[in-house]
Amino acid sequence: MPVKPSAKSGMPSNSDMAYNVSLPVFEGPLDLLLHLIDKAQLDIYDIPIAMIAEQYLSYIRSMQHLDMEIASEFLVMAATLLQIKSRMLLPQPPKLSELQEAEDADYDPRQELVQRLIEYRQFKQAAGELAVQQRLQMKVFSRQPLRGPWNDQPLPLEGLSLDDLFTAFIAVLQGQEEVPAMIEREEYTVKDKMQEILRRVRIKADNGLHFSTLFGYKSSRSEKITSFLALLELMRMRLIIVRQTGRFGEIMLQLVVQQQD
Amino acid sequence: MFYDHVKRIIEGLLFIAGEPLSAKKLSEMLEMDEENILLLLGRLMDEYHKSERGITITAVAGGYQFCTRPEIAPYIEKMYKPQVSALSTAAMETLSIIAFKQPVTRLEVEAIRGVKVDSALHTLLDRKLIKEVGRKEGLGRPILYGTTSEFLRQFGLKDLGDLPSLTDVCLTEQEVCKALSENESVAD
Repeated sequence: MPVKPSAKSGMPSNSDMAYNVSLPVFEGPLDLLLHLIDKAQLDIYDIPIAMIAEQYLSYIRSMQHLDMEIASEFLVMAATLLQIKSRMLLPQPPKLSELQEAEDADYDPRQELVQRLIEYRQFKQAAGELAVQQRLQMKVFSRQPLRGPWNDQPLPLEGLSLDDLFTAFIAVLQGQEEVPAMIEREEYTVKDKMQEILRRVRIKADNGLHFSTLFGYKSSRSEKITSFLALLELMRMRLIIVRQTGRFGEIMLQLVVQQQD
Repeated sequence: MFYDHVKRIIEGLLFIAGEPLSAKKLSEMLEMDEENILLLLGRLMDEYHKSERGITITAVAGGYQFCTRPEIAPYIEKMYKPQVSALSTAAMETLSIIAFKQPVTRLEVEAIRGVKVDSALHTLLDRKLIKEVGRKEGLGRPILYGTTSEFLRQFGLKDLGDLPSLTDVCLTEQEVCKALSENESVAD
């Protein structure tokens, strides 16, 4: 098997470091199958399916054992191999006629797989040859096309006149004289709101202050947000406590009784 | 005399072009038939070859181009440190399938490789080794891919006919069947 997971002695077994893995990289299930066939020096036209399927599956199992992500294509191929294996084990139906016998003689469950393997092998070999050729060619350098006024590449500014550029430039200059951006002044500060809330809660010290009264109808979005932030801040500082009596009930704010030392 | 004059012009044009110049284009520019251009190109290439210069003229990507001799490469690499890295096996396999089968769809390439090829396709497109060459008629009108002239240039190929030959040339279905049945009879 190409997989050699060997646990080093004395290392904790739960550690990933315990595995010393050497795993050849396969480009896909066909690549793996070709490797298995080549290794066993098998005739590609007469693959002992049971043996190859077994080797293939044990490779997949090793991958699982190593927690490697197994591409679905590998699993599809495993299923295909098992299907071919089972079809070859099935007894052939009794021959009905001479004619059918001649037809059946041509049939082999491995046929399609063999064709795919052969086709893939061709391109794999061609890829190898191309890689060699590219490596050779990488040693050969040539000039890059010249960039110059005679360059026949389309100009990026094609169709534009000097006037167009001038107009565009003027537009940019004028654009710069636009009104400066406005930054709104902070009308409400969390600090102010905190004091306001504290003051109002103190007044209503007996019953507590209704949460809803913090946000007046007229108050702006930013005022509401500031009030809410102020309330959160007061809660964090443990100056105010918030209670709700029941679901959907009114939320009451109360002053935390300061323990005087 | 006249031919020497034209030869000089060809030499100058090749020097300036920086990309493969086809004999056809040269013949158009020089208003001379292609046959004579090819003859003169041949002589010019011969001269460069015989005088063992640092540069030669090669036929590549459907044209002719000046390029350096391979033995100079280490020194050029010292000067420029080229950044071109070799392609991964996955990209190479994908490229070889596209080169031989073009125009071809992604699914057809995947059927041969038995795995997904999206990322390999991206790499090849990025490197301008392949391009979209159209759409296949049929369901979903999938994109068809083919190789570029940059591919020919990077692999030193004159044209697609210059590709290495496919070994065990595509066997037909019948041939596979025959081979299989022969094996069986031997086993019997």
